[in-house]
Amino acid sequence: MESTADTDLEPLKLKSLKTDRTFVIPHSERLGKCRSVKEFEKINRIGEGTYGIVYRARDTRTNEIVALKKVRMDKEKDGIPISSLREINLLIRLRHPNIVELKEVVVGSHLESLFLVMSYCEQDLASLLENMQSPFSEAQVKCIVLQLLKGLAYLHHNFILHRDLKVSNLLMTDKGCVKIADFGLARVYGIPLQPMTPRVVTLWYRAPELLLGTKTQTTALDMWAVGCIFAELLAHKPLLPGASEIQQLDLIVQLLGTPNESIWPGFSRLPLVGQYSLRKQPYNNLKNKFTWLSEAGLRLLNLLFMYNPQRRATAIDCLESSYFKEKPLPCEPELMPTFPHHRNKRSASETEHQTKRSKV
Amino acid sequence: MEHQLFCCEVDTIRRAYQDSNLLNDRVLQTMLKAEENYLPSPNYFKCVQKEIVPKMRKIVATWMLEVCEEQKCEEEVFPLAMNYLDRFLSVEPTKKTRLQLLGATCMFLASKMKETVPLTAEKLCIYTDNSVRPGELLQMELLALNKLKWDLASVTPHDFIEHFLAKLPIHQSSKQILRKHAQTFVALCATDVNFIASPPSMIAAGSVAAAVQGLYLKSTDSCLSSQNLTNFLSQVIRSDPDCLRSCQEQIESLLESSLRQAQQHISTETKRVEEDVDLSCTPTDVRDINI
Repeated sequence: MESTADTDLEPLKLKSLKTDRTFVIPHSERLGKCRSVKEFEKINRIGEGTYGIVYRARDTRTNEIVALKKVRMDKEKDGIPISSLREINLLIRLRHPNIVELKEVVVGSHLESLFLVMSYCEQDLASLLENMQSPFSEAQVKCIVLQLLKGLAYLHHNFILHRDLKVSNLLMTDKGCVKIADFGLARVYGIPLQPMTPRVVTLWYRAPELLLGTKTQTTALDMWAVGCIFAELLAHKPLLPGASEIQQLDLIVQLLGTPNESIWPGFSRLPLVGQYSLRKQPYNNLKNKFTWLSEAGLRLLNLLFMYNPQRRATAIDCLESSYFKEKPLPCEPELMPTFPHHRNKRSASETEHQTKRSKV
Repeated sequence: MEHQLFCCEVDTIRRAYQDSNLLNDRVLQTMLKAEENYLPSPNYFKCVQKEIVPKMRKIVATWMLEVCEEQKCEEEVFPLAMNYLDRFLSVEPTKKTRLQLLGATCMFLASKMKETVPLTAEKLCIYTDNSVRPGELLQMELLALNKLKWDLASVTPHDFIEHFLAKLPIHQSSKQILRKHAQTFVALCATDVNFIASPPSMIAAGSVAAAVQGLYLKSTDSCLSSQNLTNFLSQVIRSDPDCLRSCQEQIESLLESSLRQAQQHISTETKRVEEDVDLSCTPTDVRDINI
């Protein structure tokens, strides 16, 4: 894929329509930013999800540590998959401290390989929760949830739904910065026929309207997932760990009571309502589940777990919640504890036989 | 009883309904701010390209438009593809023999961005009379993406048309035909080099104004009189009314000249057919580019 450029090009000048001033395009920029994956050194494998392999790697140009995700293209007779193209195009323009950054897209030596260069985060919340000796303090939970809400508010403001929020899609740097990852990437990479782990296609964070077959997906889907994540961080275990869609609905009903038309207008017209016979359970048990949580905390949880999507709290509503203004106050991200890098330990043992720093 | 053939084909493409949330002023202002980021360099023929001249762009654009029409692509595909083509040519010197390959690649990408069932590499290669191979198209796709920095979400005139129509006091039945006419003007502008530097909002406003004028809708409402409409639309796009007026006039004269050319083309085609001359099997003979 060589450039067809000549070396003796005149400088390229453009005129700004707004200021009417002329500016020169730097020579390095004028031919795009095509880079080869050979410019990255693989350090270790950090995961294998629905999408393929993710490596921790070093950018030899800047010495920066990055995450390299491979987009599989081996069976594509029509080039870059349509979903990948749209998702990359979306991600490359999103810039927010609480959203994982897609720095660039680089290519392998053949058309078959395309790599996404992402900012590297040392932890993901799922493996943190699995490996932590003691649970997060409430101040730390507030710090994490606040950052999640800020990232989500940015996404929703830009008309983007994540649709797959869960603890394994929340990353954290050693500086305590939480970043939302992998939105839409389930579609980019395609879910394999046999999921690698049960968590890949988890139902635990799925909103009731989705389980009941709603045709209109809204930002409220993500807010339900925020409620599940918030509760999981507080309780140090998943709130609604259903093994099937019917069981997932049943767990929701046990916790929040049986939905009906008066609290959720349009509920009875949802496509799959007829397929389930929901147990009659008139009580909301959130208070019994989180006995130690303040009134403001319970109010926030209840707003996130509203059955009616139109009445469910938005990310902006949540950021205004008095829960984050009462004691214990959210701790500063920099003051979050640091944790051992489990992913790297695990990967190192997997790749012991490989040379320490081979080329990708 | 004779066997009968039943044609049971239906339009299988399912469309999302228009989301009214996206027709608010916040979105419009964001688009006006963003559109400048996607403008190609108006002087790339002089500064960047050594072999390609405006006439060649016109030929390849006409071919691209015909392919899009024949394949019943979404209306935005063609203007979006032309935006990619111009942005690419603004930064990458290209041989004239590769211009059709670039045109096909830009349609390939635009179709992937806008359609539920995009154009295939194979189909596009057939439209080039097999002068382009699928492998080349896929290589070029990657090169184009790199030159466009993977940013394919260009703002096009089509994005603005819906906003303008929502603001005009026009009956729903008239809106449909007005939209069609405005979209035709937009496609026409995309084939013409004189509009390369015009922001999409300006082209959209000029096209809507020209369509209102052409359909005589101005007689139904005083708001739609030429003067009032131009003033209103120029306020919406935060531009000078005189600039918009001149853009509208340019669009109208472009329409006239293209209709004249079409008439001439029809008469010469008739002669050629009578003389039994071999016609290219591509909709427009892009091989002319190499002459």
